[in-house]
Amino acid sequence: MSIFAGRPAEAEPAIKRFRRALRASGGKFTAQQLAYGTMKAMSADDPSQAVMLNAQAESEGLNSEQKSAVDAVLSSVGVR
Amino acid sequence: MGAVDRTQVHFGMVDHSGESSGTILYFDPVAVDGTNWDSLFTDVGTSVHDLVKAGIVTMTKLNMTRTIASIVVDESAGSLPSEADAQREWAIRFVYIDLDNSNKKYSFTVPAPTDAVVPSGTDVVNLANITVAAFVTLIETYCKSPDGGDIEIVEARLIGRNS
Repeated sequence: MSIFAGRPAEAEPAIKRFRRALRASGGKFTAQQLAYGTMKAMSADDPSQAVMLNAQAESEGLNSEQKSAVDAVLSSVGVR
Repeated sequence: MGAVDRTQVHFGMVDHSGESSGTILYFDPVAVDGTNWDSLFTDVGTSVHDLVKAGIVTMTKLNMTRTIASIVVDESAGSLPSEADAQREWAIRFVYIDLDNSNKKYSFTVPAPTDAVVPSGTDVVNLANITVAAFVTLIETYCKSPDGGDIEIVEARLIGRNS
C-alpha cells in the first residue's frame, strides 16, 4: 500500500489536482487556456512572482469566457 | 485537406517472451467521407484488413495482438528547419504511467527539443519548467495510454545517441 494512501486530496500539489479535474471534466480547452490554468495552479503551489507573472502573460489573449471556464476548474480544486 | 495516398497499418504481435513486434503495411487511403472504412477495416471476414491479417497469420509463429491504422489528419509541406541542432538524433523522452491500469509505465519522445526546455548541467528535464508544465497539462488532459487509461507524466529526460 502506498504511504500516501488515505492522505487528504488537499495535500496533493494544486497542479496535480488541476490536471485530474481537467481529465474528469471531459471539456475541450485550448493550449493557451491550459497554459494559463497550469501557471495559476503552479503559482498556488509555489507563490513566486515569476510563475504568477507567467500566469498573467498566458491570460492575455483569452477572453473572459475562456478564462472563466478554466477558473471554474481551478476553483473546483481550491485554486483561486 | 486533400485525399492522402495511403493508410499505414500496423499489425501488432507478441512473441514467446512477451515482447511486442509487428508488421507495417499500407492500404488504400481512407476516403475523406469515410465511405470505404468498412471495406478496409470492419467488414468481418471480407475487409482488406481481415484478408491481409489472415495471410500474415499463415506466415508467422507470433500471436496477433491488435491492428492500428494511422490516418493522416494533417499534412504540411515538411520544409526543413533552419537550426543546425534540429536533428532527430536527440530528443526528450517522457515517461508516463497509466492511472487506470496499475500505474503501468509507457513513454514517448519528442525529437529536437526547443531551447526553452533543455536543462543545463543535467539530463533530467524539469517538469516545473513553464513550457514543459503547460505541455504536460495538455498531454495529460487529452491523451490516453495504449490501454486506454488516463495518464500521468512522471519523468522527462534528454536522450540521444552517444557513439
